[in-house]
Amino acid sequence: MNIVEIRDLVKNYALGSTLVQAVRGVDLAIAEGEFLSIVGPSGSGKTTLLNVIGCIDQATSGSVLVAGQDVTTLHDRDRTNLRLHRIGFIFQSFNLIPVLDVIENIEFPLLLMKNVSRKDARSRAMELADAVGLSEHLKHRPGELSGGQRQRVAIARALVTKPDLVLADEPTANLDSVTGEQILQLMAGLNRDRGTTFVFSTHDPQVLTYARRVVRMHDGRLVSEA
Amino acid sequence: MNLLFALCARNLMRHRGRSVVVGVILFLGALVMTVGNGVLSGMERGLRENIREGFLGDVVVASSTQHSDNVLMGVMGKGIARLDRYPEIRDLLERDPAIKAFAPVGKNMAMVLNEDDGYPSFVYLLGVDWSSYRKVFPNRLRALEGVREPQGNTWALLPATSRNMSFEQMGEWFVAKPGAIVESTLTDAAKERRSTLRIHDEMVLMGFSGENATSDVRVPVQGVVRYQALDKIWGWFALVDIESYRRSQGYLAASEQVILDSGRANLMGMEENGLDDLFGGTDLPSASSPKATATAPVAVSTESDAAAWNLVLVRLKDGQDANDGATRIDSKLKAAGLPARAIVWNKAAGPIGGMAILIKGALFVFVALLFVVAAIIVMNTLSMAAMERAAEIGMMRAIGASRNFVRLLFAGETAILTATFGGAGILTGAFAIVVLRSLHLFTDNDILQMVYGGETFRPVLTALDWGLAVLQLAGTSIAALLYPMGQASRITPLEAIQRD
Repeated sequence: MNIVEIRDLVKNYALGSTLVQAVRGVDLAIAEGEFLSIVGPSGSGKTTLLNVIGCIDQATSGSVLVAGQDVTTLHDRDRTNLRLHRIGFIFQSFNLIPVLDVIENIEFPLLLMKNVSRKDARSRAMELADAVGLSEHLKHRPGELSGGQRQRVAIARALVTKPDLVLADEPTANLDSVTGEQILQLMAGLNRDRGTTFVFSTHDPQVLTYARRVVRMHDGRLVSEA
Repeated sequence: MNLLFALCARNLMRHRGRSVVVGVILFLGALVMTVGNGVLSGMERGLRENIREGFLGDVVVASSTQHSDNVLMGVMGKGIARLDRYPEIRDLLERDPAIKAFAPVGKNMAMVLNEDDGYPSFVYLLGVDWSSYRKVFPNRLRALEGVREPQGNTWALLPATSRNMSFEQMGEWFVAKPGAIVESTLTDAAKERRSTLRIHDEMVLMGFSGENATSDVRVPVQGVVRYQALDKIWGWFALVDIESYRRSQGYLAASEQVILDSGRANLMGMEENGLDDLFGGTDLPSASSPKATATAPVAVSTESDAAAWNLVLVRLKDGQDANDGATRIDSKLKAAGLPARAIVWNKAAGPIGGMAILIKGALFVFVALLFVVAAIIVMNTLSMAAMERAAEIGMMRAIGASRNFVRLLFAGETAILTATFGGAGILTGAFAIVVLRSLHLFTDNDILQMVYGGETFRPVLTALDWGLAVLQLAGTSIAALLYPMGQASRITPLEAIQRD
């Protein structure tokens, strides 16, 4: 079953007086449990594609179904709910909340949900912190962590809501190769053990060794798939 | 909620500098506003007490033909209607258990005639029966010259304010009997003309109203006085004995009333005090009747002419509400069929009664302007904060925080700042009020007395002031918050990513 189905997706945006065609008619289906990497040079449209799938950006035309819902027609409130309940995000630059410690950052999305108790949220956050190897740093704030540790926190936070889909935009870009390798191993393990669907945008060759499916983009189009 | 509070509190701590700037603005605003409200309330209360305790009482009974409620300072020449059937009104008031004391007064304007063929001056006259008046308003006068407790039947106590005005208008300098100048009370203008100063220790008063401007009366000035408080207002009112007042206004005075005993009445062939019998009877005086030789001796009586009062100033017992008192007395007057009505003091005082409210309103506008400025500064600071935190806010939105959550985050931070710093400002202001009040600052300066609401500076914070302070503070914070909060809630995850 497909968790994501994209049909003839077009995304244009204005840059000053110039119209930039970031995505030009992409069709793509992503099945549940996939470990997919979208690769391509800078400006090829990888991040834009991820943003549209993740309801962060809106398509100019075409349809994007995520977990059966066409995100191109959703109201802002519904897109927010979809992001909260069905999608996890891992950003390039970690993007943690600086005033919260590790465990609070991980449980943050759960606390935004109305049907999760604080106790359950803490319990699930502890479990994820343990899974990403951060049990020793629960009370540390982001400023007290290394880049790799921060990215682990971001991964734990992305997974704590048990999303159907995790979108990771250049997750290893700001990490050294060793730490990047560790992070990729961690995500691959979570994909294998929990069946979570991962979609990366990257141009890190290291990622490709872990991806079970790779699609290549160029000038806003999917040009090949392996 | 815990998460939200933790986020708000920690964000404030993280951005200490900005928090302190916003906080200090809120603190100072709340402090100024609270002290301002306290001073205004003290002034309002002082004015109220001084008007009620020192001049008008709580309720004023006037004639039912008196159209305007404002009986204190009306349009020049517009007289206060004569109050008829005073003895019955007096009996009614005496039976009211809620009334502490009352004093009937005559109150109208008079010309002060110039005995040197110059321009006249004007003065408000308060004709009183001194013994009843001083019971209701004890110790309200200070003698600058002469006495403050008049002696005899004919007298005037002239406030220095009125004396100075008369001097400016007619060039005559009134002094207390026996007519000696008190150098220390001379105004600068009087000092300049010291050598040619025309001095008088008697005033010639002539009623000045729509109903009368014909009778004049000469009255000795027994004292040049100053009202203990609010002399700037009350100083326009000269006190005179009721008989002189009545004569000046053309009313029937006791000296003009002929009281006949039964023998003299028989001589005239009429029943005692039955003036109509003079024209209707058939009996002629008998030869054996004693000869009528003189009128009765003049007797100053407060009942010499039952109609010759204008107002009754009523003080209620402590704890009685003036509005309720006025309503109750008014009902009783109507039920008794008396041609009178009761007016609550603040309406009777006309513009003076509303002055405190007017000044309070003006200062409220000033404080509101202050808060508009504060709100703009706070809004600008919060707006900058929203922009600076766009990446953080956008990231929160990306992982599922709703617009409302972002709004609540900003509202929470502002609420904490408002409650902490603004609350501290209000409490500090309240403390300042307590300190200022305990200092018992005294003044005999006319202008300061208006600000103080009396002789002593007694600022006070009423429950209304507390509520007002909280509302003003909350209003300012909300006004300052709306735009930045909207701005923050419109930050999209995409914007955050692009900024990042």
